[in-house]
Amino acid sequence: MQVYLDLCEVKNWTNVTIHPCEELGVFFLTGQSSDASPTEAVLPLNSTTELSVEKIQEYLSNTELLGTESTGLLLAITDSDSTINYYKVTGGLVPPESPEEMEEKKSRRRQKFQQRKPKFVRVDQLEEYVQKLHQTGHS
Amino acid sequence: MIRISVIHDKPFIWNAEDASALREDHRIVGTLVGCLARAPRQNTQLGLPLQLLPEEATLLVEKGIAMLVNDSKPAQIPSNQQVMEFQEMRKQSFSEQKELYRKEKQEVVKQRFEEIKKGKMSKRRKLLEKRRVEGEDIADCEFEKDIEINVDDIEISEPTEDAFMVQIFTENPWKREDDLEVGWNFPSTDQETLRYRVFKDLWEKGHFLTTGGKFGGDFLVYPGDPYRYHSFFIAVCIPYQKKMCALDIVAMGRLGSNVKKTVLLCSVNEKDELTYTSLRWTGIG
Repeated sequence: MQVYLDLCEVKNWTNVTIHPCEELGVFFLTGQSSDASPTEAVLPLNSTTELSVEKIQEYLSNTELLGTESTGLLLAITDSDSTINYYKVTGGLVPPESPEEMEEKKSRRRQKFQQRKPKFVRVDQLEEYVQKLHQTGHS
Repeated sequence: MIRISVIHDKPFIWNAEDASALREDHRIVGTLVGCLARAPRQNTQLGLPLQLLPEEATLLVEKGIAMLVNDSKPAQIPSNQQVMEFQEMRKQSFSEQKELYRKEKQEVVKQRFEEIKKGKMSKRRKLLEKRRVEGEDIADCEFEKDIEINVDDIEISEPTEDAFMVQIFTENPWKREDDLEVGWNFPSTDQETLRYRVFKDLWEKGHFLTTGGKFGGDFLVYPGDPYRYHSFFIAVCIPYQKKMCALDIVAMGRLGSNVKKTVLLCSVNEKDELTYTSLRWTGIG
């Protein structure tokens, strides 16, 4: 649940859906970080859960059934203080990002941050804000 | 055939050419663990011998590139014959060095001949001055007389024996019988077997591998020579069904991301195949 909330509200992911998996006794989530990004699979886990390489491989093979666009699985490891760590697991040898890729990601993240919609509006700016929304066609 | 000298279960390479060949032709890096003779009071840059990982030694023997030789026994006292040969070799080295020294000195004299001549002339002038002052009658033209001196006349001092250079051998230069009874037992435990399989597989895929102790893993995997590249992977060998806490995953992933490397979980599954799982931290979801 925490992971669902985190993805939807904090990370602003779109199309977040829940997929229960009976045989493994877990829930998978799928979604996209933005409309342009590929869909990814997320597996919420507690920090005290026991894992083995075998288990991780099982989760990975299940992920393939979900039909997400990107390979691999994001493990969302939650702790008792509600911090969530996201780790990507992929089968095979996946090299780390090159310095160029990291620069690109950084600039994209910066852009996204600058373009975000404001969550709070001052009372004296409310009229103006509502007008703007009407203009851009949102309700 | 490259000789791997096994001393108390540790494999070493003492020959410099072998060490280079291992790196350049066979992608085996090893670690230099010896004192560098020219810079002994530091340990940033070490010299021969090259210590190999047990995995590296086993692989080289398996591929027929090297053979293991037992060098654990202490060195034998040299025979009289060997002592004579050694002293003869030293003498010859000294005489060769003497000759080289003389030739070099001659070159220097040739180059600085004019200076030397001037020096000698001024010395002579001073001497004549002194004699004049003491009352001797010397003609003025004596002062300007040119010294007749040849390059070859200039004396070159001979160096003493303690000024000569001596070679310190890293590899034992004497020919001897190789003791091939080594009793090499690697790999024997399950973990050792797993490590060896992972090492061999990654090596066969064309990577360079070194110890991973610095980053808390079993091996570091490089796409090319470690001198030129940073490693891409930290390989951690884990039995397929061994239970770890999710926190361990967090720990490994965090370590890898802080140093810009992917953590590679290596295992052998029930079908006896090697499985690799890459672990990367994502900053944002």
